[in-house]
Amino acid sequence: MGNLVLDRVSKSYGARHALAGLGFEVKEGELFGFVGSNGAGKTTAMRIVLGVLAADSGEIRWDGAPIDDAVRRSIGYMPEERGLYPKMKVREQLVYLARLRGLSAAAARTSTDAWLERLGVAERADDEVQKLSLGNQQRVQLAAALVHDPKLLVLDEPFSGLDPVAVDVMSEVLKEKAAEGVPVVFSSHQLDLVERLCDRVGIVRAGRLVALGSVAELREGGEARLVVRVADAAPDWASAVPGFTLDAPDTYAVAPDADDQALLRAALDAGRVTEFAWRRPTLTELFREAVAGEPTPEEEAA
Amino acid sequence: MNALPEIWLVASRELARIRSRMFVFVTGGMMVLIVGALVAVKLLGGSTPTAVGFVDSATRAQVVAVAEAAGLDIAPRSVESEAVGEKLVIDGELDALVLDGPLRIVVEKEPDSALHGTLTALARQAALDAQLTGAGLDPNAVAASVAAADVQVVSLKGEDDLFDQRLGISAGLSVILFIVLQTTGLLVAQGVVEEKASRVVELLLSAVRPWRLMAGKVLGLGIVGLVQIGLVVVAGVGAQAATDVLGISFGALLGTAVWSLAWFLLGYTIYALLYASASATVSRQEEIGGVTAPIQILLIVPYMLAFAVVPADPDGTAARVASYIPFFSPILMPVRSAFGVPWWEQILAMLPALALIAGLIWFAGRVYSYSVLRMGGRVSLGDALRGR
Repeated sequence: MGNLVLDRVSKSYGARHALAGLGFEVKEGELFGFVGSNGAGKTTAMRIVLGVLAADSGEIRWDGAPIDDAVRRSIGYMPEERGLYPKMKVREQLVYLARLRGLSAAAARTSTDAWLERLGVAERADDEVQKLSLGNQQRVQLAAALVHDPKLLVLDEPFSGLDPVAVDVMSEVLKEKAAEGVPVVFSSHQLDLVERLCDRVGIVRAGRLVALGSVAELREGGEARLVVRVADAAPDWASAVPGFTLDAPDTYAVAPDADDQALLRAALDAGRVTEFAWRRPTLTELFREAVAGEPTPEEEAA
Repeated sequence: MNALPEIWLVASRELARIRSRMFVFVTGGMMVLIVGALVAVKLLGGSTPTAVGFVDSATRAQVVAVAEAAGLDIAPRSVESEAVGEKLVIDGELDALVLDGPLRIVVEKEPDSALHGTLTALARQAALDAQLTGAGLDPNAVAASVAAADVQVVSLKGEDDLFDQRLGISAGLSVILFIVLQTTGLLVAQGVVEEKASRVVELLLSAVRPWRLMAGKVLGLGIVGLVQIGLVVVAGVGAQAATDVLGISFGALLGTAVWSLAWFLLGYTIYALLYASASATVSRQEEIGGVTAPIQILLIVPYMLAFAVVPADPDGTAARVASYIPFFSPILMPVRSAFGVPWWEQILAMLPALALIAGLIWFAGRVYSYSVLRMGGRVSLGDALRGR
């Protein structure tokens, strides 16, 4: 196995900068979550890794060397725009896709059958893809990304459109591939899933990485808030204490030099304190913070 | 993977079309049509004899003898009287009634020209014989020496008794070539758009370079087309060999067949590349018709020329010039070859076609690679060629 590096990758569509020096690394066996709002550049970055798009500048490296066709062919890819031949039978199609990625006919058949079995669509193997339900088509799409025993997985929104059972299957498969040493990059809007699955997360905004680290690191780095609940107190009981601003019900943003003990005393004076706790931000809050305020690339272009 | 095995892998997926109902139906239909036409001509063949009535048996014997010598196929029939004969002509049972003294021919409207000619010759012969006898000569001796006199024929272009048959072959070839070029070209267009419309193209392009994907598709469907036209041509040549309705030598027919298949390959490559690049610029099946209309028109031109210009003079300047133009030569050269075209002329006409193919490979590769991942609106040709 190996590791994937995106090194200051840039790409423009006319005047619009889809990627502006994006860079990160995905290590061997790591599950990397790639999050950002729509139009932030996630899909563009993945397409450039796959070689479907060419970058204007920057480099993609695999194991320290610029990525080449042989490595690219061994990537398991799930494009954002799902697609299979609608009139081709499931098994034929997967065998064909596996062979395009370099497997022998026999190996392609063995692997196809194994994945169809594993993903629970074996009994549909001889049906045309268009006759399958959307959920089953998604499973076949995942099988298409896995069938050639990829060295690297790049999945664009792999969880979108999946039913809860399929989400569990997908999560398991991703963890399993990572455990085998395969670097896994996936994008998702389902941040709770990202938080649960990923070793590391990169948040992208306007083609740039604005946060990068493990979920724990990111939460550490985020501004902790104080949650203070006081029963029967006046709503503005805390206004006299300097350095605290209420930004959600019972939740206070804390200025760097603020005295939390002073706030606690004020709370005790105000009424019966039922809760007094530091709270780290969730990934969702970090994400909102990271992408808030600045315009998205589309708005920039407009 | 190297280019060739990969292109072949893509091509072999397209070969599944040979088992499709559409392919079997169209190919089988054309084979049945061509074999059926030849067999039908064989069965119904030969002109029906001209029914001629005679009142006088001496006249009958004389006319029958002359008609036989002239190779005229007549069915003689004796009738009792002139009136009965005329009634039979009106009823359509007789094509003509021949009466003696002087020689007259009674028909409904116009006489069969061959019969008319034969009778005229007979009347003139009788007049001549009378004059010869009056001049003291023996009509039989004169006739013998007249028959011996002959004019030697020096045919510079070669005599062609089989012009109509060759015309039939050339017409058949132009129809077959047109249909197969058109349908295989549209198969290419549909295949390209199917991959775009279903979005599977992105998955494919993550494994295969665009030009290899296009080359594989064009190669695979080319084999499908070659099998199709090959089956039809073999059926035609086989049926002709079995029935010999056309009276054309097997060798000549085989030559025309082989040149036709070679020209199909060139024509297919030209038109398939055009269809592939045009269809790559759109994203939905409904848009194929609009974007490929200019190509279809381009293909109709040689088809029309095959009927409008070639039959009048297959070796004339117009036919010759048109059959060297690369977009037209794949239909016009086989059509001309039915009338006989020297091999060097075939090869010469292939040079501009091959040059065009080289240019089209560059053109189609560029347009296809640029357009195939652009979804939604139609990609402009200018953008595709400039690559931005």
